[in-house]
Amino acid sequence: MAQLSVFGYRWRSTALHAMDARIKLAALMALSTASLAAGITGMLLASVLVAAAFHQTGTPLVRALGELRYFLILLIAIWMLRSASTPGDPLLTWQGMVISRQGVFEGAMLCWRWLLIVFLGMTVCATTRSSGIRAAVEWFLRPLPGVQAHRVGTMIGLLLRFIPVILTQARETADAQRARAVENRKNPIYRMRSMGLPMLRRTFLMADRLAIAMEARCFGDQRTPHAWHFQPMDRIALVIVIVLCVIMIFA
Amino acid sequence: MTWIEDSRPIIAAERLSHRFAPAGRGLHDITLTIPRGQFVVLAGPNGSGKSTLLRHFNGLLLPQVGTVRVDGISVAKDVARARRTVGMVFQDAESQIVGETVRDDVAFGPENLCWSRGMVDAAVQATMDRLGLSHLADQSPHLLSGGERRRLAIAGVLAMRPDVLVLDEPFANLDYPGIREVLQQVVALHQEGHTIILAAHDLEKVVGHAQRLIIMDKGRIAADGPVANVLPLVERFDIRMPCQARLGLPVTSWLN
Repeated sequence: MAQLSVFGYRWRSTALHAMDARIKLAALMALSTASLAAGITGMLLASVLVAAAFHQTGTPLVRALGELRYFLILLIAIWMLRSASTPGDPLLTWQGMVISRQGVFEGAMLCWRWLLIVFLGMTVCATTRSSGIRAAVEWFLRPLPGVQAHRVGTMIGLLLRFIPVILTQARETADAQRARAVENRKNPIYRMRSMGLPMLRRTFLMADRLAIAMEARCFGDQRTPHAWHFQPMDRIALVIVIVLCVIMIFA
Repeated sequence: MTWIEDSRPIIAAERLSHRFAPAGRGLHDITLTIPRGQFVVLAGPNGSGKSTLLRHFNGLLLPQVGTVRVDGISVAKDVARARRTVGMVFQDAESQIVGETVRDDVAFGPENLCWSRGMVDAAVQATMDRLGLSHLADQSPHLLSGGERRRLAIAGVLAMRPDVLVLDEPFANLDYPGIREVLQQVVALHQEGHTIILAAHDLEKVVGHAQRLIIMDKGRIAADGPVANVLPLVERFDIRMPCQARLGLPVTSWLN
């Protein structure tokens, strides 16, 4: 059964869905950058804003965390490594390894930042059509010399469109292999190869078909420009993001 | 049926050959004309050259030998015009849907033609209404049923207002309601005056609506003519004859 990934756009009637894609993309870039310099107060404020925005996507938090499970495992590993590798006041000592208070704090801050950025990204993806994201990327890249903004925008738009398709295909391939008792093979390299090769083949075949279908529909460098609707609400959102970024950096 | 047909060919291929190395498969010396408004079914076993021929009609492939003309103009000389005139719907609907919503995907073609935003929006709305997709406008194509997805693929092409609609195996992987949904739309489009060229393995579903049946075999046209004349020959070319034709009855529509 086809289902959408939490990174996929889902239509809802909310202020965030109606917001100009350029503002959302600018907010993603600005808040992500500001989070690198933010302390606890700034991160708390940003987290409240991101939680409120994420709520508007209608995605259950448990489902989002479920889809991020491997990323969460990575974050826990980073936290543990950071805790063990940062010098400072010892909190715990075990077989010569010292977990420092400063390491635990720095690791937690690092993971918090990553989580904030990921949830912000999911919120932007779930509330913005890929055509909006593509047009916003093009709009930001257009002033840069030597960058083919149109092509970069199209690539990002297609990537967002095909994430759920590729995930569905991966599930189908995994099911087909389970049906043929792949679980009896304990060698992870064998299992990765038997999963990876058909997946790559299907993905490249699909990319090839997609390119032909786009060509058949007259795809080229010149297209009808995106219609932007910059509303007063977008201006207010922009001001809120700027103020929040300043607080995050200087508070 | 009230189809509109006029004798001027909308598509004319003359001595068309195209060979794919190294297998040597392709098309060999194809000459055919398709009059405006005709409903043509193109049948043949796998590898007989159906898809290769269809791709020459809208310039996805160009002839190595011979010419293909769309509305009197060589496809090789004006590929963009051929693509506007001949809309192509592929067998795998999923991989030709580009937009993240139904509306975005229908708009993709008109936007590529650089129409004004007003024209794009009008064409998108009219096409979605025409194919019964308006209530799904903001839906992700990934969540549509097989029949809806195939209708979206047709809508994406139809929004560009082509004269000819080329459909490559449009009933593949569809259930019975899905086949009826798509067939209904194809028949209605023909009745509105579109030229329909439809490639199919299974004649039973569609041949009741077609005026002409072309059989392809090993890259050549093996038989071509009115459905009633060609149908008795199909089993010679590994194509299953519809049950009703076996019993000597006229093949009726799946829509009845």
